[in-house]
Amino acid sequence: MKMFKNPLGLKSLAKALVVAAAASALVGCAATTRNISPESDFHYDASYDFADKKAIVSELTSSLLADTVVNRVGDRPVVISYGIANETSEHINTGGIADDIRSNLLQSKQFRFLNRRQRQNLVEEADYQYAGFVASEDRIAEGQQLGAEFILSGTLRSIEKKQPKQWRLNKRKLVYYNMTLEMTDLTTGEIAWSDSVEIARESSQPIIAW
Amino acid sequence: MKLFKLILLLLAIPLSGCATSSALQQARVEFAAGAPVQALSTLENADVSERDALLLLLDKGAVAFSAGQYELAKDALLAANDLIEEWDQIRIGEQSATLITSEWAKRYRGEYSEQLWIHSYLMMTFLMQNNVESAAVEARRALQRMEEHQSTLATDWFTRALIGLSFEAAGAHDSAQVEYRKLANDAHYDGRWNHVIQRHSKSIGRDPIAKTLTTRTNLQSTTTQLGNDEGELIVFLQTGQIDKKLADNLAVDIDLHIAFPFYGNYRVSQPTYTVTANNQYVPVDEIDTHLVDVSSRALSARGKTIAAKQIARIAAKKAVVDVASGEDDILGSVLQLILFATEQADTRSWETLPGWLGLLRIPLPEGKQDVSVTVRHRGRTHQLHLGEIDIRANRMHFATFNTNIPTQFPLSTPSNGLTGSNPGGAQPKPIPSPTVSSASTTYINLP
Repeated sequence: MKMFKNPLGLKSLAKALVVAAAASALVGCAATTRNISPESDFHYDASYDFADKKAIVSELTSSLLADTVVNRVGDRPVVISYGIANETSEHINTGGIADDIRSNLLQSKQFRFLNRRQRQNLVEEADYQYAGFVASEDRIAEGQQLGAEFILSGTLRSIEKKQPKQWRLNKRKLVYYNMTLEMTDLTTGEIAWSDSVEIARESSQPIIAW
Repeated sequence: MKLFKLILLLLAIPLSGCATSSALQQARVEFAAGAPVQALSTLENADVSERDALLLLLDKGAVAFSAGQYELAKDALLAANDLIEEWDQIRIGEQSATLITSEWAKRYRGEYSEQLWIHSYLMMTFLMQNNVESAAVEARRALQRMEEHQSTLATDWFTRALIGLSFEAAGAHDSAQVEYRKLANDAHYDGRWNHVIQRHSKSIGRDPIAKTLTTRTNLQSTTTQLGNDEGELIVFLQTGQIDKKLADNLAVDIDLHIAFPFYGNYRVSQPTYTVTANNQYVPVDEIDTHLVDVSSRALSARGKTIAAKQIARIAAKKAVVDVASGEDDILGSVLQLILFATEQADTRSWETLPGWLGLLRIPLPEGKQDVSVTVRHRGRTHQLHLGEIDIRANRMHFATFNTNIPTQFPLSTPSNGLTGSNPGGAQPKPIPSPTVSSASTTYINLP
């Protein structure tokens, strides 16, 4: 039953193949979990993660708080947030960035914010109070809401480059993120303040694995 | 040496299963029979091996989309995309297994075309959910896939048009214009969507492309400029079923053959689309893709890799048999039977895809419009009555239609959930079982 001669060490190759296949079928990895600090700055790959969010929020908040045109001392301008547009290639919840920036600015006590998300609920609640269910002395006074002086908005963009296909052991990916935040003066329409944060990261992943 | 024999036998037998999971097969039959809810239920309860994990997600995504279960479709397709990214590595163990069995031992990663259509379905899903920002994210991802496999995927006109539409809907007009411009300048593009491109060019003040197209277009079906009192109805159409991969064998020797997958001589029978509004025919801009045409290009693009792998597999199998025969003739014969019986073509594919994906853009005047879409394909007529849609000026209204799923309502009655208007901009409710319809509508504001 000898099919052909074996001058090139095919016997060894065959054994190696069988052992490798058997090993791959038998090897298993145990699952582990651990708590990590939200302040830790490490990345599994090049894509956006919570450490990037923290860096973006921290830098832009500091920049805005240091600006004297928008952040007039003792004036506490009224701001409405129109969110941050996601123009990246990833499904990033930019609402989280906007919320954190708003929280930081509120905690600084130097800005006031209108709650745009709750507007419809505010109307419904006011209508309810004036529908006869609530005693007149307990009703809120209508027409007392603040008017926004500034619109806070921004855009998160990314440029992604993968290493071209060629003979290599690792594949590399380069991702560049740019987050721009701006404050628009509602009275004049001018952009009263703007700043941006840039993050560039390269990741490398082995092409061959067990 | 006995241990070696034992390992070899034990390994060869479980890896020789050359069939897609029975649950997937069953779900596909149910879906093809027009029962997407039943198919979805089968898929939800399916327990497939890791080798077919991607196929399960792909089928789930396509079936859920056709059943109007957009949240489910989104989750499945995003997971499918993550899996492809995660599996973008050569596993030595897996490759070793395929060398002594067949490609069936490998995790199915999808053809390049199928990887692209994950993004196509996600774009449609997000647009149906009014989530234009996420649709634009998927458009960018689809562009990355297209750039990676340009020559294979360039004739997917549907997805290219959908990318432009997603950018347009998200207000990224420059990006939309770039994609429309690339489409218009493609030597193989037949100009069917020229009026759409003209409209977009004019709307953002880009006359040069509109002028270029005016000389190339031979269609006068629709207007080149939307009026202030007009909106647009956009219909995503899934027609027919994609052809399956077939297996063929090439005999090299009396006890040696090469098995390879291929797409047969499929029939190109392009669907025709007509739309009526308030019982009047209305002009339509249409663009579509014959999916098997792109899939067979994608399979051919892998042809050299498949051939190289087959040669390596023949050498490996011969070596294993040779070693075993040196030890024991009977064992060698048994192994030869097992190893060469496992030489079967990997015919796995995303079989719940339609034969054609079509995109219709229909400019309609503001106000209530009783809309019906008719698709004629391979001698059959499929009609979808969208019911009365409240068209609003400068807005895009979206609807989907899968011709494989019979509408279980009389055509003259609006289907459940097909209000055609959604003033709060909320997500359309999934169409409940058992009153399944293949269609649903939603709309977004034009930026």
